[in-house]
Amino acid sequence: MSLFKNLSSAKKNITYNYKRYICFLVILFLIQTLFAFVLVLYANNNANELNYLEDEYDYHLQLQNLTRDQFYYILDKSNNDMNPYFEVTRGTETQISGTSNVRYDMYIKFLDRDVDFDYNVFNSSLEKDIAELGENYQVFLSPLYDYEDDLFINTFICFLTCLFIFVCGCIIIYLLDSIMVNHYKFQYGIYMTFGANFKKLFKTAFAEMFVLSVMAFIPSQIVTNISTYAMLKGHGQPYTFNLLSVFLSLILCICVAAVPVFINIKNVSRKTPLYLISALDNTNLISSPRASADILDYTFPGKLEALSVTRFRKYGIKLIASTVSFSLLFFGCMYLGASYLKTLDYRKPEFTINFTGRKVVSEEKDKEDDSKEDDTSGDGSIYDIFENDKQKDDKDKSTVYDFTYNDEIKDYLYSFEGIEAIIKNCSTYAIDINSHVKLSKNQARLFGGETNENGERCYLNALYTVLDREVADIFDYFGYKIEGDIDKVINDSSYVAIPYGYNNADKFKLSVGDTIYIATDSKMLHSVYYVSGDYDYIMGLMLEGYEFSYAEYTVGAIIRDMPVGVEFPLYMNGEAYTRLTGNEVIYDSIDIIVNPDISNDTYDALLSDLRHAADYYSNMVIHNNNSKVLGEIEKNKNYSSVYLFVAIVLLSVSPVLWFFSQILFYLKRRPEFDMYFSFGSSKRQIRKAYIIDGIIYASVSAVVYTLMAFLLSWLLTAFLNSVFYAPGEYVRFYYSLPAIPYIIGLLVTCAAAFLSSLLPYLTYINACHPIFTGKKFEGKKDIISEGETGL
Amino acid sequence: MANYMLEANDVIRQFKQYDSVITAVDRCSLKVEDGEFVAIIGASGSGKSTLLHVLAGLDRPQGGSVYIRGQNITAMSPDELGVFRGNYLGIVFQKHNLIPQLTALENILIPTVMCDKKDHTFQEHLKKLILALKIGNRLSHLPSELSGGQQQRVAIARALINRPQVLFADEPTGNLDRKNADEVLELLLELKKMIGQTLIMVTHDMSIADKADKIYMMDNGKLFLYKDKQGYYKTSYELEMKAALESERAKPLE
Ligand SMILES: Nc1ncnc2c1ncn2[C@@H]1O[C@H](COP(=O)(O)OP(=O)(O)O)[C@@H](O)[C@H]1O
Ligand SMILES: [Mg+2]
Repeated sequence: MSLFKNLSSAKKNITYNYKRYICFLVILFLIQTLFAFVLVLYANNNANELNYLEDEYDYHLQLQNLTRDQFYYILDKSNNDMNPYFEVTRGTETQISGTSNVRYDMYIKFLDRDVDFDYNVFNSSLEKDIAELGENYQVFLSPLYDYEDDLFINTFICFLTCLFIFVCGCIIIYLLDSIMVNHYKFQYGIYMTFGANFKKLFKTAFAEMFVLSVMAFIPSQIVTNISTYAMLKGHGQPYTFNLLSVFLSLILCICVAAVPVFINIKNVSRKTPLYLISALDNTNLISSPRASADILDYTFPGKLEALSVTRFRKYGIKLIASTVSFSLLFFGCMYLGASYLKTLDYRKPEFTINFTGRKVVSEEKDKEDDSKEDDTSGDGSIYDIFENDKQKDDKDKSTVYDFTYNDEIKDYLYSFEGIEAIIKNCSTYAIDINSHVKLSKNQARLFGGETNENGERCYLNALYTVLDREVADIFDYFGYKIEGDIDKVINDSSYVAIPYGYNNADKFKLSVGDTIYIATDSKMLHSVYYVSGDYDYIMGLMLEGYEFSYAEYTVGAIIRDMPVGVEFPLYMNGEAYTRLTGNEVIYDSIDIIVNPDISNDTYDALLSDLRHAADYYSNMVIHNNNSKVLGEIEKNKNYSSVYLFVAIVLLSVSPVLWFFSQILFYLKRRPEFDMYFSFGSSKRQIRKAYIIDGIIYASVSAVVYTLMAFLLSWLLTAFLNSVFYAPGEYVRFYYSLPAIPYIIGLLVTCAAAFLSSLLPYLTYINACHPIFTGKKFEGKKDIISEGETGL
Repeated sequence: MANYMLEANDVIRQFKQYDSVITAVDRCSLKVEDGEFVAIIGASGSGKSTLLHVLAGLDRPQGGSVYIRGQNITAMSPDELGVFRGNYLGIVFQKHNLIPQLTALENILIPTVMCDKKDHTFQEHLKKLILALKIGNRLSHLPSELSGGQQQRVAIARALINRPQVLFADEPTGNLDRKNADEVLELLLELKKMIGQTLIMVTHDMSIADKADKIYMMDNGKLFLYKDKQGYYKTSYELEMKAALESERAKPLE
């Protein structure tokens, strides 16, 4: 009953004083729209992602303690089956963090309808297959693994975004409300004189916010749902209406309004009524008493001026804070949006093709395994099976083993529609040949690597990779920035190229021309035993157990912006590679980058072409990384448009807020102008004082904004690199100050700060003062002049 | 103390201004019985308004205590005090202090909205007040559209609408001309008879003060009894004042 009374009186109050509430209504509308936008998008994203993934696979399998070849064998078996009842839609290899072990993920789609039956058939045949491979394997199985994994991340991002909007919203409403409460202090004083306390005042103020939020509800939901609908349809996505997110956004909006109102009313109710009724406000004077005194042809003592600055600190800080904070938030959102687009732009291979046969031969030839490899027996068995398999297929052994990636297959693959680039790969892990990379103390940063007895830093996680013209062209194709001379590395076997990417940029301090050392030969001092552990741990053991000899290499080029995983590739030409690793240059795997814009039909045709090729060259195994589908899902999450939207809203809110505050301040400044005019100062004199005032505010705001923008982009870079997209994406963000958002923010800041000083004056001159306009001054009814509030 | 409606002991109120301290109310004590009419007189700037604000719970003293209906209002939390003011106290300011955005009627009804009294039967009372104060035809006007006398009468109605047990009035007629002032004061006393509340009024008009049961005189922050039922204390006042002026001022308190 009492709530109803509060609400109806709040409604009456709002309709009577709509001018006072219009800013609140606009801002609550925007906040609610943002909430609704994020939540509706979240609900739709999840639904659409589920659809996508349900289309893509029925079961997900996780295999551990298999060798790569064993995994390929399983993949091969399924992919090359001519009459399959299931399909492997995706296969990936993932480093298990903290160890050198890998995990293989396999996604399976059953082609018949009866998933359960098929699954049982599949599982028993898989068990049979794997049982032949060895006993150490582990299988984990879950339906829709990716969805659950992504659901967590989506929820987390949605939560963070909502939190961000919540905090921004609270700050905006707090600023607005504190300006308003400050302006209507007198009313609150009178209400408290006649029996109001915190509870009563809060109920009244909250009821107003509640009514405003409800008023904003329908329009904001219409705007949100229509724009989400349009956006999703534009991407060819279905749209579903989600009732929960609609109401959640209303509740969040009401909470955003309640928190600042609570704080403000709490502050007010702590004061005595007398203070509220009679307190004089310092904000009704221009910032410099000296300038004010000048107007009256009176010299104000400088010492007192310095003292009096503190009188305006609250007003000044609030003004600068409000102009700077919104531009900064705008800037931050633009930064995040751009970063998000960058991770989307990062091109991932759609397919990886391995040429397995050759590898078997080369590894059996130079059997240099030592104590550290504990699954040698497993290796043996797969090769046996493999060879049996091949014999059963009645294929000529020699063609199988001699086949590798070459110009013939390159041209053949490029003839398929949709293939944009092929990245060929010939590399050897440093750990596999007992080698590592050694840097001097001042070439390394704090983290990563293992320090040897001379204080030098050793890295086991290097991947010696062959660089030739074709590989270098791919760098250009991806647009990596290259420092130094890549041709020198291609032509001269004493040069290497090193990428600075996500995982190693903060570990190295190398520059072009530096000398680095690579361990070429090792002599075992005592045996080294380990089961698992990360690279640095193993490196430490190896430094104790071996004596190494090193070869000198010069850094010929540094490749920036390249996504780098746990192992960093160290590029060298073929000669250097063979000398270092003892392996011939054989490209045993290729990554295929697919044009992202191809239609699904083209995509299916491409996949079937590749399968035919794999069938023909029987040692070719296709992994489908499904980057296209996954990338599409990511794109459709539209986070960058959320950020963009938030940014634009924030930027448009800031003038509203600022305007609101200025109108109220103007009302307070009125007596001041009256006083100056009554003392006979001229319009020009007063204008000059206010222009100077505005310039001071604008320059202080500009400086504060610039400093904060630098700080913010630095923090965001660190945040993005360490928390947000790590470590799956391997995209590194570099510190930068995006020019356009920065400049827009700066302009808005300066304009708001400058006008906040000038606008009250202009309004006064143009609208109110009879001397200058000739119009009769019509006193507004809602203006309280200072005089009336005194006792 | 239970037999007094209002009892103040050694109330001190000081204002800090830059580095000097003004003691506006200097250890004042007074006792007011239920239904009494007490006048406080004194020169301008002697601290009358400040004392009245402290007594009415609108301001907090630095020292001393104020009991109303046996309850120590100086020890109450701001929220408790708010409710207490709404239920038992009314105040008429020197300046009307009406809310400019609200009409006369809305201003009068502020206390009924702000205070959650159990029996909300103010309609009859409102009619009587409006009739007595002769503002019936001005109810939908904004304060800026009313004359000074009318504004003050609206303020009186606002102070009395909740039937307070103690009414504080701070020179309610200070800004009015003689004729208007007399009229408003007559009304105030008539209403006091009608409602029967305790009245504490600051005034500098001796002809009004004479109608009071007790007169206190304020001088430079100090309060003295000037007249009560037994008669005037003019001579003793002068003696007391002399002694007081020679005595030490209250030390600044935190
Ligand atoms: N808010 C305040 N800040 C500083 N000094 C004040 C304040 N209010 C009153 N005073 C001082 O206290 C003294 C008493 O003021 P007041 O109670 O208004 O006197 P009266 O009502 O008797 O004319 C005066 O000297 C006045 O300057
Ligand atoms: Mg006074």
